[in-house]
Amino acid sequence: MARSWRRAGIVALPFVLAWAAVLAVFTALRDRLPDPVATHMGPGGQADGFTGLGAFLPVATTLLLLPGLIASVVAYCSRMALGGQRMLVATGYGTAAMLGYDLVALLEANAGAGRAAQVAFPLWHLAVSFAVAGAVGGAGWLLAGRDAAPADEADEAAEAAGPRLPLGKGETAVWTRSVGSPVLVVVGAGITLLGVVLTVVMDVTAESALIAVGLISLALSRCRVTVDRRGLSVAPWFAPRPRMRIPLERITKATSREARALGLGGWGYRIQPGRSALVLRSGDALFLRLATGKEFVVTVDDAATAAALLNTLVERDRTATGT
Amino acid sequence: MLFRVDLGSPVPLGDQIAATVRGAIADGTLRPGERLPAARALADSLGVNVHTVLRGYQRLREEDLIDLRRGRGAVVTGEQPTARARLLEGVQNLVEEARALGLSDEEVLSLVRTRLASRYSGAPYSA
Repeated sequence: MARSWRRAGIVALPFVLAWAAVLAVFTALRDRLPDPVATHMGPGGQADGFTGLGAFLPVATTLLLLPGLIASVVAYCSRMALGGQRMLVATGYGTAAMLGYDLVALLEANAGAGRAAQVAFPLWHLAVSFAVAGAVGGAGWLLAGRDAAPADEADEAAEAAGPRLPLGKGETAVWTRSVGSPVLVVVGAGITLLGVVLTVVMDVTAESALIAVGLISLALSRCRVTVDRRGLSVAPWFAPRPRMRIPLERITKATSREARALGLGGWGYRIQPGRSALVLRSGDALFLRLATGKEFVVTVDDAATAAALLNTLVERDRTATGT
Repeated sequence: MLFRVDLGSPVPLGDQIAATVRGAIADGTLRPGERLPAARALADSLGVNVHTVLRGYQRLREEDLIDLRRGRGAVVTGEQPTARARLLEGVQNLVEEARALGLSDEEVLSLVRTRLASRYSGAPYSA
């Protein structure tokens, strides 16, 4: 599927609109805003964190336009219909709406208070921002659905019989290979580092979530993929658990081909309609057609051997159980 | 990499596992520094005893093809494992062919000694 500026525009739209709204409100209220402005609220809705007036706009711009830019670059490069990634689009819309609402409400609260220390931010604002996020996210979901995903181009290839790996009667075979993801290593290390720095510099506990996300990315950055008499399993490189397993009974057919990470929906564990994929890098990938009609993909070197062995084992399993 | 064992073969399973790994190192599928699957996981996959797998790994360690370290698992060694594995496969073939011809161990060794002596004339073989 071709790259599309229209898709890039659709995913960037809510971020740009939210930024424009914040910019407009900031300009209108500028004379009445205290310096510094209150930017963080304690649990009771009382201001307990402050930012210089001059820094407010750059920070708000980064918060809104950077994710918007990233989202549209991904949408542009992935060549995928938005209909196949509705959840992502909806999340982007919801996030932009929530950020935009909170920033505007924050400016209003600051302008009304006169002095930053007196700024109060009633907690019902949070409830409203969640509602707004939900509504706008829903709109994003519907909008993305109009960009229908094309029929699976792999179906034709899947019609042909899958490759085989001849095995003797008493012979058992196991295929195993580890695959690493430079992208997940860099992203994981980066997020962890950011979390640690934020925790030290700003002394806030919320950033421990960042550290957790970073460490999970790092843990998943190298996996071992195994094909054996039980089926396919994927486990992290350092331990046999947690393990993802697809038993032979659930596999109809295995094939292998080159795949691009962005074409599969990005790096990590991606769930899309009709397909889930464990994407560590672009390149050789193993495609499984499941009994449910869905598809499972894992990117791994030498996927051709894995596919051949899986087809042979599936066939042997069927013959043995007589189904 | 692909492990194959034949439960019907007279060759011990541990040796079959070692031969698979040796072959993979010889043809470049397994490169220096790469890690072999954990013995327990591989035993589960093949449906054999974990000691059988460890026997195979132990043999590879004796051949200096892999390092076995507690906690690190089995790793292909960094020192020319590919060439080494090929040499060992050659030795394996030599032994098999000699057996097929009905040669005794002593006869095989003397053949090898003679060959070594003629190749490096002047360097006496010391056993």
